[in-house]
Amino acid sequence: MKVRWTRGGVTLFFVLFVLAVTWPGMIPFNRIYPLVFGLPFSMFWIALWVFASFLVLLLVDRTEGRAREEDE
Amino acid sequence: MARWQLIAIIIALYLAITLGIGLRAGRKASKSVTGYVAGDRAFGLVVMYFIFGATMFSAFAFLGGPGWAYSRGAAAFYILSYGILGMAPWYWVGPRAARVGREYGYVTQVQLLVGRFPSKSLSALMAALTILAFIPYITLQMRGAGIVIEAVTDGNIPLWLGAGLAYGIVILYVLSSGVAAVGWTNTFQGIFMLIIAWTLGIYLPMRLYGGIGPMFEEIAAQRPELLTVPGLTATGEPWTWGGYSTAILVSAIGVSMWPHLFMKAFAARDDDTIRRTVVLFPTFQLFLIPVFIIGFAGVLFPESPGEPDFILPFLILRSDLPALVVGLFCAGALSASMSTGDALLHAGASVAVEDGVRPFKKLGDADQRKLMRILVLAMGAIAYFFALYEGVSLVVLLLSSYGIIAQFTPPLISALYWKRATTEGVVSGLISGSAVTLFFFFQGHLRPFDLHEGILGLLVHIPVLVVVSFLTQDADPKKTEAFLNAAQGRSAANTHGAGAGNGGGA
Repeated sequence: MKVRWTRGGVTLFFVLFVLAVTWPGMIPFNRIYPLVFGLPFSMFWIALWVFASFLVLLLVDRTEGRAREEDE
Repeated sequence: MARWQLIAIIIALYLAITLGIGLRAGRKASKSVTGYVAGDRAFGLVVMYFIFGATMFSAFAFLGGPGWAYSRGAAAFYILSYGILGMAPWYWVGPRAARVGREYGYVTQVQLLVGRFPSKSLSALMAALTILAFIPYITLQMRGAGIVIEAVTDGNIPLWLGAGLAYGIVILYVLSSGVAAVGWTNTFQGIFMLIIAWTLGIYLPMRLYGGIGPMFEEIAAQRPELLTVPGLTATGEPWTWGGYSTAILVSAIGVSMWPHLFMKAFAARDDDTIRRTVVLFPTFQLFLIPVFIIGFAGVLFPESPGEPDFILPFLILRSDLPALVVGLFCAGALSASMSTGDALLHAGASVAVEDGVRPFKKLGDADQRKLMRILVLAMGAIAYFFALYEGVSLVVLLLSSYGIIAQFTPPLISALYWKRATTEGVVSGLISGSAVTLFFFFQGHLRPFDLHEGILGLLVHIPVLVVVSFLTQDADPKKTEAFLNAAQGRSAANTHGAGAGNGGGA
């Protein structure tokens, strides 16, 4: 049950990721200022999603790993 | 001693270390096809992490990446967007592929596909498409290596010699140690790439502009069009949103289907290794940030190189950097080139033998390995020839190959997940999808909204696959069921099958 929930969540996250970095979802974030860590906002926005996927996948790995252990 | 000689010594040292690691790696591997192609299915997390990172980011990342940021600006951001999008599904797909691989003894992606959809012509077609996509890819890696060495030694080591030396070494260790050499050299080269990219990405803007923020402020004042998506095309026109967005999509769909990456599912020690490689992948991918910064650092530089791809060596040579830094940079670029080139040569030869030759002619284990080695040499020689006499056609071929590789996705996903798929469906989908992709590649002006030809191919491919599968019957439903059970780790034929799920504990 919990695995299903996480899988739904992670699918949703990556769908949002695709929408946020392509047309038209990217448009509101496609700007130079404010610079974040010195980077143009457009570049920071994409890097943020990449970094967030790392955290999301870590979370998935924990939940699924636990579920696999309980399976046995 | 002249400056270029000092740089040449650093490069020679780097090459010697790589060769040493590559030759040593093969000592433990078994002398079997599984040993040569899939590393006895024993790769751990560290090696897998660097194989995926270093292999995916080739000379293109080190030379082309800054080149894109320099000449096309934010267009380059698509490269930053797709990596983990393409890799994330592998958290589930990878272990499935690995389980079937263990159960049936597959070492290539095509064997898996043909195992589910038996067809010799499918096997030959996939092998041919793979080689067709690989040759220009290897050629560009070789040229990249040659170009860098020529540039940093002031032409004292010409392109033919530099490319020949670097790839002579690659061929030596791939011949002697197979995939074990690819794994261990990629680990060394991957660490090198990461360190060099981050160091230069922070150091260059500091030195030239006084920091990353000040650099982007200056670019924003003078060339703001470079800092927002979708950036520019190669000719300096604004790029379209359709082209930019579908470039991300088609790359994300295709990236994990590159045979030299997919095959590594069979080389992993266990399922958890594959999963953790996926989880950690974004940390490697973020090295594209300094790579782009390096390219942007060149935008306001008063002079410009002849070709945008040379921006990195060009900047480095004109910034009065110490010879040591230049030498290390060069080693980093060679790492990027060689870590992809070795995986391509190795995978190309393996696929040619396992999927192109073996279905048609019986070969013993020793003969297969011998033939693979001959083909590594042959592919290296062909690519070397093209690297010296290159025309525009090769870049064109490489760009079209992503559209073709993306067509591998529906058949492989169907093989692992969709019970109702049939051989006829998969073959007709693959042929129609590839044909549409090639058509729109050559008739680019006919593409609606500037969509990538690979996406247009998929729009035809998937419906054809589904419809034809429903119209035809599975020749052997029992076999299909056994195959899908193996994919889920529920093995019928194998009593220790339950172990597939807890591979991490073993």
